[in-house]
Amino acid sequence: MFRSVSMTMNISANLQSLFTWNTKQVFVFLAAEYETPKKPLNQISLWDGIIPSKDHAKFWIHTSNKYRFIDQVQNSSRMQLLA
Amino acid sequence: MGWIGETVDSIKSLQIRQVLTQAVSLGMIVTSALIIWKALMCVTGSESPVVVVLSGSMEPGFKRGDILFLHMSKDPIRAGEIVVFNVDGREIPIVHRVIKVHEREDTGEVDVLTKGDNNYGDDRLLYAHGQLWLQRHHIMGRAVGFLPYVGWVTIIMTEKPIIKYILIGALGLLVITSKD
Repeated sequence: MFRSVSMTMNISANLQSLFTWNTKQVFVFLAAEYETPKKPLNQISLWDGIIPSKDHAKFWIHTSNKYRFIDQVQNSSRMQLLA
Repeated sequence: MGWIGETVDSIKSLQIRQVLTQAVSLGMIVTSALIIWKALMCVTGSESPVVVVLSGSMEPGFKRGDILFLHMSKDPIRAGEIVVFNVDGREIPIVHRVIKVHEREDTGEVDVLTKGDNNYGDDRLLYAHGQLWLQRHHIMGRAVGFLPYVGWVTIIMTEKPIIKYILIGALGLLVITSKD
């Protein structure tokens, strides 16, 4: 009944330059952004992670999407089925 | 007649000016606190400019006992932001991160889904029964800064009311007994 996109991602990044003396943590996330006829803006987070320190800021990971990639449907009773 | 005279004398002996000064000082302290709070509300545009973190749902970024400073503006709400929202039927605002946003073209209304960084699932269990999305009117501000540990005073006073009354009593005594 639902169309949910499942994907595998290779994410590599070097975020060491973001860490200054007062950086507590870096929250990284990957989001899908798209338009539909009725909704000009949609943002759905697919994956996120927290980098606690500069030592961990250069990373490479291989993962699937953490959150469901489903477009919002208008009929709330159908959304109930998900819960 | 002697009794009446003694009573009148004892009343006169009160330092009226001193009592008034103390009353005014106390009033000034309370009023200053209120003015500062209201000024903060105006400057930040949020009805809760400062909140205390009560749970560990946003660890490791925010821990229990931290104080968060909030700011509300007309800017659009986007994924990744940390927002403060009120749930209908709950008194305590919740500070979590936006993970989904859907904006409608006709009304400009926005549907938002949130999640605590340290939580496993999204916040639908926290929303009002049957509610699947937050709208703009639920959101009270964004987190723009924090101070660690300072909020523990508030938490302790909330959980142990006797400590609160002792503290208030001590402060009151301090004000009353101080001599300028």
